[in-house]
Amino acid sequence: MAHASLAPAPILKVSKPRSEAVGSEPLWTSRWSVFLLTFASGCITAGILWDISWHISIGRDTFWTPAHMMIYLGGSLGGFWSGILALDATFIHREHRRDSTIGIFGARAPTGAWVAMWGAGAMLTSAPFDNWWHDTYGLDVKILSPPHMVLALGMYGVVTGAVLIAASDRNQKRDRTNATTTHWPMIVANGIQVALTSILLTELSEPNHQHSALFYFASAIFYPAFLMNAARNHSNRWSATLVALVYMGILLAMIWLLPLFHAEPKLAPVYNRVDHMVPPAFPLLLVIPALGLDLMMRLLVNRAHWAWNIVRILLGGILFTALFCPTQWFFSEFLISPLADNWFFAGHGRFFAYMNHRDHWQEKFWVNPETIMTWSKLVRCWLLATASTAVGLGAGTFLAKIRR
Amino acid sequence: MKAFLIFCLSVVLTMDARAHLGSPFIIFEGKAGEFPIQVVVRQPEVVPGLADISVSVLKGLPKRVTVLPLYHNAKREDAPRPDVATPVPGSTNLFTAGLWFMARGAYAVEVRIEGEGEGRAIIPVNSIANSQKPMPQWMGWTLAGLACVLIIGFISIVASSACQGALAPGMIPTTGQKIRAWIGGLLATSLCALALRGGTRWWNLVDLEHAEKVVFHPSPNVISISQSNATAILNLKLPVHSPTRRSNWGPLIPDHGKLVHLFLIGTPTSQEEIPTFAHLHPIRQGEEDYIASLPHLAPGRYQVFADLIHEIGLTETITNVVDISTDSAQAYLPSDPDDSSLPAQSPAPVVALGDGLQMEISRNSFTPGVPSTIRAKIADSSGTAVTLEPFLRMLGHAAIERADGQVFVHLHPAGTLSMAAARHFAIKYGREADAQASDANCGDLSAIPPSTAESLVRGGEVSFPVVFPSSGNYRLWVQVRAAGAIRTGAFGITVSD
Repeated sequence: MAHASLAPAPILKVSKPRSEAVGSEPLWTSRWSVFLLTFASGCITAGILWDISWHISIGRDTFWTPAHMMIYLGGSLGGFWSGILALDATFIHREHRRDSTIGIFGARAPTGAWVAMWGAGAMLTSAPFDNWWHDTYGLDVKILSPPHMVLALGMYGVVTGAVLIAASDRNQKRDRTNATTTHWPMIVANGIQVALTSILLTELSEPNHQHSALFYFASAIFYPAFLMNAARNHSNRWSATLVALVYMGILLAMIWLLPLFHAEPKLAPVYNRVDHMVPPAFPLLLVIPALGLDLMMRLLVNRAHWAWNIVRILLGGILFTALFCPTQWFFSEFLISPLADNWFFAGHGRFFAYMNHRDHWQEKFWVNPETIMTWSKLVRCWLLATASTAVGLGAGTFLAKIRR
Repeated sequence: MKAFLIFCLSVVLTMDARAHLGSPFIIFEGKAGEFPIQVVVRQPEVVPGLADISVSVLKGLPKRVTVLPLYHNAKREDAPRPDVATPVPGSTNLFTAGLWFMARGAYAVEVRIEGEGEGRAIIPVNSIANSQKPMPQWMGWTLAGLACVLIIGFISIVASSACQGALAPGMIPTTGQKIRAWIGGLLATSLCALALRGGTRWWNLVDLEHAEKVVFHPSPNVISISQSNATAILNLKLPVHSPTRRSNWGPLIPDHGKLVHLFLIGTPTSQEEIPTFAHLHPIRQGEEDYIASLPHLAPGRYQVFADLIHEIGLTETITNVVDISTDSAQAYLPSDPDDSSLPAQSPAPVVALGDGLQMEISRNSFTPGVPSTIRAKIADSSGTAVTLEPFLRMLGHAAIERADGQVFVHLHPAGTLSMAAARHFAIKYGREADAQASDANCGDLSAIPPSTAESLVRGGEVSFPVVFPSSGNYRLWVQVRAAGAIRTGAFGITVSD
């Protein structure tokens, strides 16, 4: 396809044929795996967005809230289905599945299934840790805490499992049919990954934080990697753009849907009396740097020499910084203004929790002298974005080659 | 005689301190409209935390009981819809509810009873983190085990996928791919090490911040004893500007007429002995200094407990120790007419109060965590009930200390709540007229109809609702005013499971 020069052919050349090679994996297993793990990832991401909205709209929750159920469904579905794949590949169809699985301590499963099982395990581990944390430090009303990070790693595990299963499925089909295969499952899974990342960075990414250097540092660390990964591993010319659009679509759906539901704060004090579920803030316009990265990859598609990868990395870092930073800088000015105070943009403090005063804070940028943006911080941002781009390129190359 | 002779000077010693030291319970017995009620609030030990509330309607048939949290830094309009308390199965008058306290400071729990008529009562409670609980050992080992599984799993997955992930069907790994597995494994191990190190540092930072900024630190205090004109003076210094004191707490407000209720409890010479006790009310001298004349006290080390009420409705008990090296008060002239003291006593079922008066308490069995009542009867030598006089506006006061000094509770006839804090919240969330009703509800004899007050004082009896937080041996001092003097009765109490 478009950048055939980056296709994963060399592996075939250096690997030795195994004499007892057996036939290909039944398609239904892969399709179901891709669908179910992507669905599980979607449940986790939507569940987390719903849960955060629950916490900032209603406050009081139980183990059994619908949002929690959605997260449990995602985690358990990802873990159980992956477990079934592992049981099948280890005990039932060991030889038949040998070519589509990797072995760990004698057990076999696709890489994605291992990662998803690991994720489900981490999610389970976070539960007693988080419970103890609440008993010791109080119910944390913030996203970034050590037990939440364990939970987040688990969620990433399930979502990344979906990405790996989708990638290996796609690559196997490409090998078998030598034809263009659909990339949508992967693009959706990648988009969910970006959405999950944006949720983790919520506390640094609200529009009122978008003149703070911390926001740009955090964004430069994570987003270029995901976008570059997408731009590299798909054959589609606009894959990074599509991934960014999937991310925006998920967030926009929640922004537009959640406020349709009634909610009433149940914990004191209530400084912002909301009467509906509070939406998340408007998504980042990642589609702009994604478009730039896609164009760059398209221009350099036939440059296969390893040195061109350095060019891709350097250019990728520059493009992300040059496109993302000014876009968000000016767009956030709009988002905190009264002009964005509508259902579409959900700006001007519409995303404020029940416990936040909405008065003058909603129209201000929350920047202190340490986090004020300067040119030297912009350079640091570019360095971070460059490193992130390198990671993304490496991950994308791996995903373009993975078959098991 | 030198103008000021320093006998001794205590060091600033701020032990674990909170309102009602060592006890998470607030108990209130009073009225909500026409309904006599008893409310027990088990305050959470963390913030945000869940408070357990039980409401017992002692008379009448309630149809609905609601509880509402009101935060000190918010208006009534900022409160959520009240929570409906759930009736306890099999009971028609006992209700329970859980309320989340989300912010640090003071809350008022408004209890509303609906039935034949309607009434409400306000119970001030603290919302503070009291301590930092260590992780139980079993939990530590469980989490460590799970972390090991996750780390080993992560390294194995990365190594295996680096080696086999990109293998085409029918291929087996080459040496190069096996090396790649090792490199992947090493990278994964490094990542795990970095994550563990970063996570540990982060956790330590959270822990430190929690210990320094979230856990409640009592107001710092310095206590010293000096002498002026043959009178020993206790000097209490409460620095207004200190890192642990929050400026938004506001100044101290008087609780039944006194800014500070300070208790001195001596060191017993035997396990049975009830040590020397003094209840003083230091008078403010400037912004940070409070002084009280020291009564005749036996030399020795004394524990100091002082109850303070901040303007926002937050109550705290500060602690310290002071050494009194000699019986210094050659001429004792009380700085406050309501100051009193009692030398060490041997426990007795009936204690003499002087002038032929005696005090006896009901010998109930006391169980930790269960509301009970301490009843003290004051009679003359013939057993006739003595007419009591208001002491600090109430029928009486009591103080309880566990023998190890880790629990100290100041009791009133209405329970352990602060009258000043209740009054503050009654005005803030109601009307000025509600202040008097609040005072009456807290047992202020001057706030209730004279005829009712008259019948109360004639009974010669005072009762104190109480919840003991734990089992053990306790000391109890009951104070009343009778026959023109403050009378203190000291008792020993055993609380067992």
